[in-house]
Amino acid sequence: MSKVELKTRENRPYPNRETTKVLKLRTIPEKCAACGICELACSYHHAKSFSRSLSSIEIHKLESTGKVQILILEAKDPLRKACDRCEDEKIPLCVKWCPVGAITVEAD
Amino acid sequence: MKKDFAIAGKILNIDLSRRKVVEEATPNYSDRFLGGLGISLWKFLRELPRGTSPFDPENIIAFGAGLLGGTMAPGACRVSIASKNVFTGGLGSANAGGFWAPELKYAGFDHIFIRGKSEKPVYLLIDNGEVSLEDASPLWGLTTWETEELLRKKLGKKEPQFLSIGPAGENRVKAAAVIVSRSRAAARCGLGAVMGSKHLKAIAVRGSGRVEVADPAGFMEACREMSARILRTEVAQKIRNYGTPVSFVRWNSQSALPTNNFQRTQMDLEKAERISHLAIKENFIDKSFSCFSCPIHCSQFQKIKRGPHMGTEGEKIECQTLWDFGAKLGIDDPSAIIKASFLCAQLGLDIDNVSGAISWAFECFQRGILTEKDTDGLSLRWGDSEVVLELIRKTAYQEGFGGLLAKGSREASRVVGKGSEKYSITVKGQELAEELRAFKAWALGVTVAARGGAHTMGAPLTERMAISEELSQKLYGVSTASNPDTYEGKAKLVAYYERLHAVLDALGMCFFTSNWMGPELLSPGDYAVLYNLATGENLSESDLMMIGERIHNLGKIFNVRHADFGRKDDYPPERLLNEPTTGSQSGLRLDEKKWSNLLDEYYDLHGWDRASGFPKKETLVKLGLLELNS
Repeated sequence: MSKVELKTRENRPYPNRETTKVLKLRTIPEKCAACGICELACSYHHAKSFSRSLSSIEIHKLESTGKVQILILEAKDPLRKACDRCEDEKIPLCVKWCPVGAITVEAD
Repeated sequence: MKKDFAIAGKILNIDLSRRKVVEEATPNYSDRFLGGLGISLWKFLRELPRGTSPFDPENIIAFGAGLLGGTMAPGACRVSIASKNVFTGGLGSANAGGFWAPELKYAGFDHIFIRGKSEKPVYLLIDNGEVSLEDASPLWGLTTWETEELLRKKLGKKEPQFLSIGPAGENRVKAAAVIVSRSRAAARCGLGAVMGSKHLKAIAVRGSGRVEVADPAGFMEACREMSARILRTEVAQKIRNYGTPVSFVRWNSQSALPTNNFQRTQMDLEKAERISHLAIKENFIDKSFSCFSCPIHCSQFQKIKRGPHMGTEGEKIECQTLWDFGAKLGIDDPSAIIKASFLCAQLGLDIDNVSGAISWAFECFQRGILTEKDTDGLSLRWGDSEVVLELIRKTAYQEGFGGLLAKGSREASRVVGKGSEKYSITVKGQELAEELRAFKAWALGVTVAARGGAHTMGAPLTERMAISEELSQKLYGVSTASNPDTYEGKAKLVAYYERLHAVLDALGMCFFTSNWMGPELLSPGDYAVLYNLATGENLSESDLMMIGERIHNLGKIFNVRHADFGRKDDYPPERLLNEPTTGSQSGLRLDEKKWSNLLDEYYDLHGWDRASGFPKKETLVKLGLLELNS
């Protein structure tokens, strides 16, 4: 189980959310079924269209072992948008759409 | 100019003999046929000469992503593969989930047509609009799993998606399948052998493009509501937990399994319990996986932790795996069944077709028509899993007795003679996987399916469900959807699902999202909503079903033109007319006279000539297909 700290680019709290606490995104690869719905939700958020490569999330399914990696991209990749925490949404779309709860946001 | 939403916009035409690539525009086809099999068949009917045999270089094999592939539509992940059927000479069509089809859209293409034959083994690499034929000599002879692994290493970290053939396809075994994303099989009709005949080992696709829809916010909202509706159903929860094997014990209790090559219709109840979904869940299932963009997650990762097959790991078995190796061949060791399933995926074999040929051989052995002298010394006893595994391997490599099985049971029985033809249970020449006698609509849908005996082109499951007469009337226009005993209303029910399945194939969507699985899942009206939000068009539910009818007619026309199929080919195998069911629901059989009346009603509903089955002129006019009137 891995935890990814979420901060807005300007390091400010989420403006549209009820909480003003910094949220953490928790990924649980053991639960992930590799359906890629989070990638599509993310590309919809960024570009209002569907694409794995416009997403800030990468799901890697290691076919032979049945293991999954969930990567959330930071700003370093020049080709892709980093996770911006879906600032205009109540909760990040990946969290909202994941059918198995493999990505969750927690206030801490 | 109108913007074409949802599609990638381009179709690839690849000639392997001349190593030439020509692109054409998708809307030339998608406006009338949406995608998938609709586009493939339209091309075939116009460009494939009559008399072309499946392994002729002139034969075409098509790979279609489906109109909604790559979007958020639940289960929009299917690739529809089509060519000439190696068993029947008519329509060969097979469909698989996984991750390949959406990737094709992201790479900029909706569909691929491949003709010709490469001099040397090649694989096709599609990398974001760049198309190349690469040397596949190092891959030739490898299993599908080895092929994917080697290509993944070679092509680097940014992972492409793969479909490939195994040794069975290379060796032109009739039961050869195309394996997609390692564990999904576009199984039936021998399409893997067609790829093999073209020296085409694999297609790797990598795409970083996007699919756009006309109303993104509305589309997302509709997808969300529909996904939630699907997940609220009991059937979706059950197949998430157990996969489709969840229905196996019930099929058995309904005397509806092809036990020992259809000699009986119920497997010994204790044996069936040993391979039930509960036994598999407890001992083998690690976790559930999904195809791309699907909330259901019907694919279980299985691990064999003890016994002779210890260490075998992989994804997905189906209820049909249990029909094929459990009921048909009598194996009651679940680990051997899982092993057989993965072996078929690796060698690139269709479990239905390979088990059909093997079970024919087992019955011939039981009756003394075949002996150990014919079978390379193997004793073919029902339930002997080691012999079955060995015959699967021998079939894939055309080795010894496997060379006979590689022909399929019908052709093999003509070689053997001695009355063995009677035990080849086929429809239109392809092995039958489904037991039919207990359910009339199911029987009709399977038997008339253009691909040659299959339950995925219109066979309803409603006769196994509890649907009130009122709801049945509302959904299908007949009150008998749930009544397995009557022939009444069944033609109309089958026609409904033929249209729906054709639409789903063309949209690239999985049947498991639809009311095929239960009345509370997605209806044609729901798919019309998705289609309209995605494309900006305004089709009604009946408009969409009419497109399904158009595609369905293309399949019928193709079979009449290319295989000379007529009314006689729409009858079930004789054993199912003459011998009754056994076990809990014993004494049921299909009645030839009633079947004939049912066919009349079914042909009339589609506007087909009762004698030839060919669509009447007015039918072609209604469907906008008059140019096919010959």
